[in-house]
Amino acid sequence: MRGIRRTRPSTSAMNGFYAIGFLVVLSFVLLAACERGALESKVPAAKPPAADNSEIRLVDRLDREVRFTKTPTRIVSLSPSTTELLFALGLGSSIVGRTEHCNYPPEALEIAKVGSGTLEGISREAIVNLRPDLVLCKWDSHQPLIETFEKLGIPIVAFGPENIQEMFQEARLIGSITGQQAEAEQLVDRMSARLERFKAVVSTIDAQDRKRVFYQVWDAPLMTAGPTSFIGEILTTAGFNNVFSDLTNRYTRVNSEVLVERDPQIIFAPTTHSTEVKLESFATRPGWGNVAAVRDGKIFIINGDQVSRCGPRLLDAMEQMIRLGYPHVAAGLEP
Amino acid sequence: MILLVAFGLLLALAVSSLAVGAVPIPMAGVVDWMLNKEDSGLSVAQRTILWDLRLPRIFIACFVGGSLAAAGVGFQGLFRNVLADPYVIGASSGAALGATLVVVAGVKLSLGGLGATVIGPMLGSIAVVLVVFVVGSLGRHGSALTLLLAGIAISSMTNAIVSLLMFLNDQKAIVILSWLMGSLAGSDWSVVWVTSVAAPLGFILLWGIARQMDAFLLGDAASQSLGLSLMQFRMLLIVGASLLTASAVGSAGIIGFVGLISPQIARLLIGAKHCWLIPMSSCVGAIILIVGDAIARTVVAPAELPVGIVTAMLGCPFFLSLLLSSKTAGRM
Repeated sequence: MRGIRRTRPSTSAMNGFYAIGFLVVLSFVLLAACERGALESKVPAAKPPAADNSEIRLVDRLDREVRFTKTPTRIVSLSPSTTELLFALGLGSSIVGRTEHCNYPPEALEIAKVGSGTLEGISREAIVNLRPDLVLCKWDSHQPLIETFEKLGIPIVAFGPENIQEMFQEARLIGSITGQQAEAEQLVDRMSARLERFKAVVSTIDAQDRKRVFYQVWDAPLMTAGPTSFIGEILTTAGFNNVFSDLTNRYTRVNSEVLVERDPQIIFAPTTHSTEVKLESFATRPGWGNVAAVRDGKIFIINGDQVSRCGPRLLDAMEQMIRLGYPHVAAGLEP
Repeated sequence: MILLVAFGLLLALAVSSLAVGAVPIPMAGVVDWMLNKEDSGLSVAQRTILWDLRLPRIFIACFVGGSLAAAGVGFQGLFRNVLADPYVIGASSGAALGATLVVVAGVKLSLGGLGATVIGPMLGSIAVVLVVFVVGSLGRHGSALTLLLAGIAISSMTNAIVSLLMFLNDQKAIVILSWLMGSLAGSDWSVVWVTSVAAPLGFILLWGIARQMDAFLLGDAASQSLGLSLMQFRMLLIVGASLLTASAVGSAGIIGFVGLISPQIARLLIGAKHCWLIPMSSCVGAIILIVGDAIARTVVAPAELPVGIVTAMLGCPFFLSLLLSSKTAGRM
């Protein structure tokens, strides 16, 4: 009897271990598969119009085809950058709904709100009640909304550029849906010209004068922007060497020790991390006192609404960064 | 009797909450609309809101609240501990893993209009509970404690895998988060159909062993001497309770508190006999979630509050007042 009682648990324990082992192996296989197939969102594109020219078709960031039989005139915008882009394209009067965070341009504040910016805070009822014929949502955080509105037959397009070129493409896309192609081309031309001007100015800065920069996305936990993010992109384009250029994630936690070791000469931070960013807070962090940027007082606050939105004002943030980092070339930034 | 009252209250609240939301719709219009009158005076947008958004949402609130509350009774019985909740042996971490895998792998399959993001969490939650049950009941004694500890260990590992997947798929982390947040806002009819099958099934399973659950409370040895087969009983209970939990997490994500507090409230109202306690707890859970969600979608309109905040702030004072005024409190 004792023998039986002893053997049974041990085999059972073995089974348990096999079960756990199987799960672990399975999850790593899946992990490996995911890593390889890591599905990137696609840049949306307009499709050639149908034969009879009666409808506009497009493919959005989630590879969904959306069709429009008439030009949308009642648009709900669910992100501040999209709202700014719509206004820049002269479509401000077509926006019927926005989020609490859509605070620019000032005219935007008069548009009806449909909730806060996060998925949880958005009221589907309020959106339906506005009878929109186009909803522009964020491709990543708003996916559950797409399921709802697809079923209701309300056109919803997954948006959210991840770099400047994608912003240009999405501007053109909105232009083609709304019949504002000319405005979209003008906007893109204007911004491209400005970008080229910045690049020309930056190219005059010698390689040894380029400054090491840390961009603080968040303070606790300490987070930064990697080179694949649009913030990483404007840092590099503005002639800075991102001290965390070896990151693969767009926005991620980083180690404070590594930051001290990489000794940035400039630190940029947006206006707020939920509370206002205080310049004095940097020097008091353990080990940061000897970081070049802290020692030399080269910590700069950048307008958070400009730098954190991949929208038409992103180049304003970039210009501000160049002026702060390389004041000697600032004169060349004007057209 | 009190059960009938609770059920009546539930029905009344479900109907009247149809008139409550970010977009005001007059009760008279709602009643006319329900009676199928041609001239309900509602706009097309209002009718869409009622039929496609609000009604399924109320159904789901009812099913999810009822399911979590019944599952809570099940797990509290299983562990003979009133602090157990439906997620105690891994259902929530399993649901999170299911949702994460679906998003990360970009699975787009849908079964009868049911998205992968509903199926994923359901299967994940059942799978993890199953593993916990197999591992936990094979130990030396196969006791409830082993099960509980196995649940804690495996949940932790599952959560770690979820976090790791989110870290490795930085671009999708926010997508995953948007599916993990417990919310009733995404409710639609396809989800109603599946919960209205899965939840009652789990409920009947659990209710069917109500008498055994009473016996089980006496202790392992005593209940065995009453003729209870522990292994079989535990298995039925876990299957029923995790079916309920899975249908809840699949429909609405992870909503806390309801599954923990509803059984306690029900116990104070109707006593600890499971054949009454299970339906009563379900009624209480459904009421809490319907009222909580009605408040969540109006109080900061047009924005919405996470429903968990409301249910906790609402349920807690109610529970405490019952607890302090009840003579039976000590016998919980």
